[in-house]
Amino acid sequence: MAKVEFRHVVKRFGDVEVIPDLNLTIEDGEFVALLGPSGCGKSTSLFILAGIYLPSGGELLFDGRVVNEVEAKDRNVGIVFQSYALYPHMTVRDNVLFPLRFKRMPREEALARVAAAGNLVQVTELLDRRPGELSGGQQQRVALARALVKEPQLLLLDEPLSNLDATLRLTMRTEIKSLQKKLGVTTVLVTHDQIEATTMADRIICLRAGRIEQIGQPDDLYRRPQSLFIAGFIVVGSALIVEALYHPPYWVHAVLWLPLIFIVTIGPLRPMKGLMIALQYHHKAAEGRFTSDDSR
Amino acid sequence: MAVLVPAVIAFWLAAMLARNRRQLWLGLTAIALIATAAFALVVGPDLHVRNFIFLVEPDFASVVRSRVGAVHGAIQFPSVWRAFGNSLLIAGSQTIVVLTVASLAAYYLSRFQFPARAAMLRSLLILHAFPVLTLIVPMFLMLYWICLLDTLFGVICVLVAFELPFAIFIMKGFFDAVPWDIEMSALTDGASRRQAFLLVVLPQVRNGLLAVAVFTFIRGWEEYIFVFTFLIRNTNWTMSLYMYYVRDDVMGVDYGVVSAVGVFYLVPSLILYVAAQRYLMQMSIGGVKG
Repeated sequence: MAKVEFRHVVKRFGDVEVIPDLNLTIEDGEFVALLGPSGCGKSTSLFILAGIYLPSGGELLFDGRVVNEVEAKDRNVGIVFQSYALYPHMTVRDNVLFPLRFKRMPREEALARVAAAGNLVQVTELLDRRPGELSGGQQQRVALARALVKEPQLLLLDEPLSNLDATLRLTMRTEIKSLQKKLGVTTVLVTHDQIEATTMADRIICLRAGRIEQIGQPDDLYRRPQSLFIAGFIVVGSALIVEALYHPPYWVHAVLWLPLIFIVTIGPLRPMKGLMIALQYHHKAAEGRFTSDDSR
Repeated sequence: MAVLVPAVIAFWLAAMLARNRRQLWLGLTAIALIATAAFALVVGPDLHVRNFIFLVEPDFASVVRSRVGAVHGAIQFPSVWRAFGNSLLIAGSQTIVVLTVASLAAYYLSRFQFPARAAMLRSLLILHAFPVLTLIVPMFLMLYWICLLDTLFGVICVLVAFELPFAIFIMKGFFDAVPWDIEMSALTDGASRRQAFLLVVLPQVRNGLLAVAVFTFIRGWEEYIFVFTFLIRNTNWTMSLYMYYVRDDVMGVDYGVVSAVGVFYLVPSLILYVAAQRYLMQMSIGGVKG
């Protein structure tokens, strides 16, 4: 279990600055979601956490200790990839056993822990099969077991649910959530699905082009989005207004369209609230920003 | 030939005319029996174990020649097992070196960015474009200067150099097909880069390794031009040279011995091909992705 801190973390790939300056604290045992559109740097931040990428600048701290130079293998981080990344040439048991092979541990104890992890995600009966013989949901569970078996101080989930079908996604969502609550492991979920983020995470970090747009509890982001971007991203159905507001000449249209949208969205009350606030925000403060955007 | 061609035609006819499976089997068995009998009749007299005399008698050429009376002028042959061992040594060590170097180089080419990476990939293919014979004279001189002429080691070096580019290219295709995620996952699971490579990435390209190994081995086994040019002493003869000199020496006297040597030469590579056939088929799949 660990408290994670980003201090002015920068990541560049050649000339491209993916993360300009990231400052973020994730509390011990917290379930945090990194939310944002593709290419916003959320997976990059995750790989920096895992130690696969080295930050180009700044410091990354685990429990107050700088871990910039600590290699991935020594960070004790569990990760679940979108593609699950199971090792196809090993049985499920060997897959889950793999992280324990690098720890000095008697084989009986290792096997017991594999069994426990398998039990936790209910894949006990699949242990002798190979990943190729499993369904997507089962592979997902195995990947989770593999990430959890070494009792990581940090669990990273890289869009773990986007390859599952809709029903399975729902059940896995609640399962991962309750698993995290049970184990109390600090968890970072990367997703571009706002529903996934709002339903699973304690706190959402909304990223845009490598910058933190807003940090808050799901409800905060939903009710009090601090920018149009958040409003457009979190609140489903407001795409039209946001689209209109992004391009200043069109906001006239937005005003014209507003009554219509108002009528359309009057049923579900909450989204409408979000929209109204977004609009207010635009009038007060955002206008300058949008015009400057336009002049570029 | 006189037996084989009619037999094949008969097989086709039987396959065409047969009305059901039972008839087909009956027809095919009958034809096979007749063909075998005919084959035994035609080549039977030449087909005897004595043709394999070369396996036990190093000076077999004299023995064979003495059958027709002319004993003089026979080349002193080394033991065939010596040649067999040399061939095995050349092909085997070539395979080992090519596999090791090619897999490491291909992995690096596939996974890392470094200056002149594209240029290197291109030059790999250009290396392969040179016809072997255009390089044989400079290579002979080079081997002479570095005192590796007439040594197996020199030949192995040359063969490895010629086999490597293509092997690297094929292996790169296989490595490219291994997803990054798996490696990243291994790294976060606590493996070092080397362990991730050995435990996770290499098993994924096992088929590629096998295919490259088989092809390299067979290339080494059948090598003729280089060994013919660079090896002089008869203790350094490989199977191909042995075959060549047997043909040279007893041809026109005893075809049976020549074909027996041919069979002996053929068997290992044939066994290898049959055993590895499954993996060779997959190479085209892996290779396309390169």
